[in-house]
Amino acid sequence: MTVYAGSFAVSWTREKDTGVRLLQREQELNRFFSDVEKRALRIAEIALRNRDDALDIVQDAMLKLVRNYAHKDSAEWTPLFYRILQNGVRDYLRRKIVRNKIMVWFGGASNEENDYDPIAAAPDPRGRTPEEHLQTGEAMQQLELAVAALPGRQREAFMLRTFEGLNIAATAVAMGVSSGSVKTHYFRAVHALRDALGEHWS
Amino acid sequence: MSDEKDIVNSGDEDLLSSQAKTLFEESVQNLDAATRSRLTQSRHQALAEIAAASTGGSWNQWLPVAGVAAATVIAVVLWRGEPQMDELIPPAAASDFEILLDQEEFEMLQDLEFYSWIDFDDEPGANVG
Repeated sequence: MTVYAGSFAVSWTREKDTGVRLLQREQELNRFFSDVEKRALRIAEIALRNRDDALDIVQDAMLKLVRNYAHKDSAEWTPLFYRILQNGVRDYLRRKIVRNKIMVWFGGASNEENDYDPIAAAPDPRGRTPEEHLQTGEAMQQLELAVAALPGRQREAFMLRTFEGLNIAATAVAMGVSSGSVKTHYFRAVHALRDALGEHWS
Repeated sequence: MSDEKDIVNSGDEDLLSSQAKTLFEESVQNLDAATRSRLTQSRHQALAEIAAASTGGSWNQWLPVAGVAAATVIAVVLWRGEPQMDELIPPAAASDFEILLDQEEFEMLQDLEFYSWIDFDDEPGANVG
């Protein structure tokens, strides 16, 4: 009887510890997502030029981080989260290219796609209200267009380094490339943006 | 975080990056309430996975065992199950059909009236009177 009682006590204590650890982990993840989610959304949105799709990709990244990396040290979450996010963005853009090719092949490309002009769309690319448009400002519109026009890797390097503030090592993890590659992409991105925005930003 | 940044940045790039960062943060702060709400919902949905894993793990881990057990029970039933007697006896309509199709019974069909009379004759008391 004593043995049974002892084993029950050990089992209960273990379950209690596990429950406490899970609760702590959940709180840590909640803080992490609260801190990172809005910037992640804007980073995805600038790359995709679509808020709804960006929200879906951020949500997907959150779920994948919880399912696959919740047990990892919280210091590793930021690059892992952005790696998942960037993979989601790349997959989305790849699917979009294929979809557009198929639409062109069957001659069914919508007028919206054919007539799409990023410069013409610049004043209101996300359908924001005039108040929001004024708040964000023309400079941000130009920056978004210029960043969106960068090659994929340069865009990722610039946004992760500048917008999210990741260092080179963390950016390399998030992009799945070497540190040297990050430096190169970032250097080219900054110079391309300076060329594109220089006249507006000087 | 920015310790390596100066490796590739000259003054112009630093200025551009800091301007870009300021604008970006401003746009993040100006996200509308609906978008913030959707982000919060997404976060809660993701965090619910942890709770689900902690509560659902106890029964989820038995799913493979339950599957194997169910498959075993079905296999045993199929292996040991004997056919019922009524499955071995052909239905009456089938036996009649066989009789009718038999070549030797064609004569019986031709003399159906005679056999009816015989059948009637065999009944007790049929020929009385």
